[in-house]
Amino acid sequence: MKKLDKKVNISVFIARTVLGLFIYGGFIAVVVMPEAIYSDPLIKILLIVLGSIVVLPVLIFNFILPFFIYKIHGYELKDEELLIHRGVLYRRTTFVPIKRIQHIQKFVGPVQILFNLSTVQVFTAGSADSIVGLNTIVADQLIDEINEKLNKHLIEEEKNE
Amino acid sequence: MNKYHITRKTIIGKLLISLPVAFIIGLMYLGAKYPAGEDGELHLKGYMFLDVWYWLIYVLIFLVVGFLIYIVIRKHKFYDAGDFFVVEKGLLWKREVKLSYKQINTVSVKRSLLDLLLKTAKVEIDSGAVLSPMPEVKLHLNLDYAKYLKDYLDNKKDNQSLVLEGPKNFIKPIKEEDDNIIYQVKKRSLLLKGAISQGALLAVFILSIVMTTILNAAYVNGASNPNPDVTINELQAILVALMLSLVIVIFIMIFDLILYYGYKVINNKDSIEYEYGLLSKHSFKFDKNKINAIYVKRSLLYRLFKRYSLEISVIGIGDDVSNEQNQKKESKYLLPIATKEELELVLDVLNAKELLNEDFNRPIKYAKLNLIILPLIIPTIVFIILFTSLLMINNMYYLICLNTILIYLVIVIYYTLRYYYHGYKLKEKLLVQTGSFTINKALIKKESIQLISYNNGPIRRWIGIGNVNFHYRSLLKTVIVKGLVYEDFLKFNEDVF
Repeated sequence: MKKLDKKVNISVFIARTVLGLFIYGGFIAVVVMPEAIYSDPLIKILLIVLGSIVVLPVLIFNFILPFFIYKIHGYELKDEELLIHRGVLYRRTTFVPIKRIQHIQKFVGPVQILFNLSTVQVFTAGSADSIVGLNTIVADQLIDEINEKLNKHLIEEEKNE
Repeated sequence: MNKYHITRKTIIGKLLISLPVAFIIGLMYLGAKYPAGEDGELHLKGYMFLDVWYWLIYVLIFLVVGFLIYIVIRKHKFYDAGDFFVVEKGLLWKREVKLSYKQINTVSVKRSLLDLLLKTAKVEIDSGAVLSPMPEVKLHLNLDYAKYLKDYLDNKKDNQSLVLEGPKNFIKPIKEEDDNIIYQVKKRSLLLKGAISQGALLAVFILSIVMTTILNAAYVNGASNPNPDVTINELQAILVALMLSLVIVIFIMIFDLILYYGYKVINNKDSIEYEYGLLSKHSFKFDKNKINAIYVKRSLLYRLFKRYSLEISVIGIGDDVSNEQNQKKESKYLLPIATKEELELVLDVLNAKELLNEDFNRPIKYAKLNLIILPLIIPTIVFIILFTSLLMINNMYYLICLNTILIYLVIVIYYTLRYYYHGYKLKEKLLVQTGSFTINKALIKKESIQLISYNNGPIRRWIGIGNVNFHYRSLLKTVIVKGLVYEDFLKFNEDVF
């Protein structure tokens, strides 16, 4: 299995932290606000309990899981298929046959730009999967390799017809 | 190259737009002419509408807007351009849609209530592009010409010599009686469909639970109140729940009768046609080889009455465009309610006899743990907390306690049945059976499967099992086989691709 770029962990951590700030901010606001603004003090307690239920998984998602991505995620490009391994807690292995690929897309997010990383999205008719956190040069090479295999397959298919 | 117009009758529906526009502008005239009241607002009085100028403005605006609509309608044209069917529309923002005859996926004819009155229909042409939820072309035409155009578009891809006739001098061809009808629904069957549908059963169940819970609580609170305004007993509560359930079931029965009225399926050599509807008529035609998946569904009551429903997945034939999400469903009923004989006949035509198969491979490793015990952990904890809390609060809540036990039992039965029905079979096609109260069988062509993934969470990974998801050519649909080992996933990849 080929690994992603080593910087993927920190890149995902930063991206998740930026998004998580809205949730943390909201939760801190609920905790800090004086009880007087609530019509009933029970409402504040209820909001803190509900907020904790939301914030706890977000904290795990933000501060723990990103640091396992490099270790677990990866991909394998073979002659006939592309295997994508994703997920830390909930894992997913996707088998994409080269002959079913419709098109490939490269995507670079704002945090990924800082670390020279890219996402490669592979589309089939009716579904898609992606490899998040490849070095941009590696991503370009991978896209070229897949396209090459796909073209080879299409030519063979045409010959057979 | 002759260009043809859509029917002039379109203006009758569109003119309804000019009525409120004329009314609003007329009101603006009244607002300008008559002084406002003390509160600064204009109070409309009957005599104001006797003003001749108000009516002159009303008629003038109505005519101007109507004329503009007429011009826009006359700019909506279509024509044959060799290999392409072209549609032009728009006055200021012009749009031209050029569809290759070979790319046309489905052509459907739809009729609203107004179309039934005007003897018109809308022809919708769809190229089957997955990412485009709406049909590429909509043409409002006279009914006979709409049917002709549908046939023309269906046949043109195979017969280039066909010439498109214009709607002006079109003469309705004398049609022979259709001998190829393979399914025709009876009114009685449609009423039965409504009565035994899953929605009706669910509505009755939920309503019974909610009503008896609320009314038991009201009764207990009333009993503890020395001067209760409302006193109600359990028998009354159950009667109210039953009455409401009956109304819901009757409503669903009538709704289904109107929606699927006159449902019939016609088998042609390479294609299937079906049409239905009382207030708005729908008719569709699609190539048999464009079917990606076929589903047989049987709800609990369907099984009790020995009935089946059959759905198909063909991208582009969906007519149920949800206004909220503007998303097209590509899966459609082919048989809303059918007996086993009717189902067998249609499955034979579709070459999908595998759906009658009852012999499945089943998940083996930790199957009971995965499909029954693990999903029941959270419901059991919730049930224990809820039940003990209810008993501690007030022992008069016996109807609510009974409901809690009932709901928990339904959940247990749900997961147990799911364990017994879950299965798959992969030969020339993939056959997957899922469901519990409603059994769903899905038959998918291998060529339609796009990718396969293997998913598992921490507990299932620990015991070495996971779910295999098959993504097939459809609007983001998947079928899931639960509780398989990684080796099964690799075997699937080998067998499918």
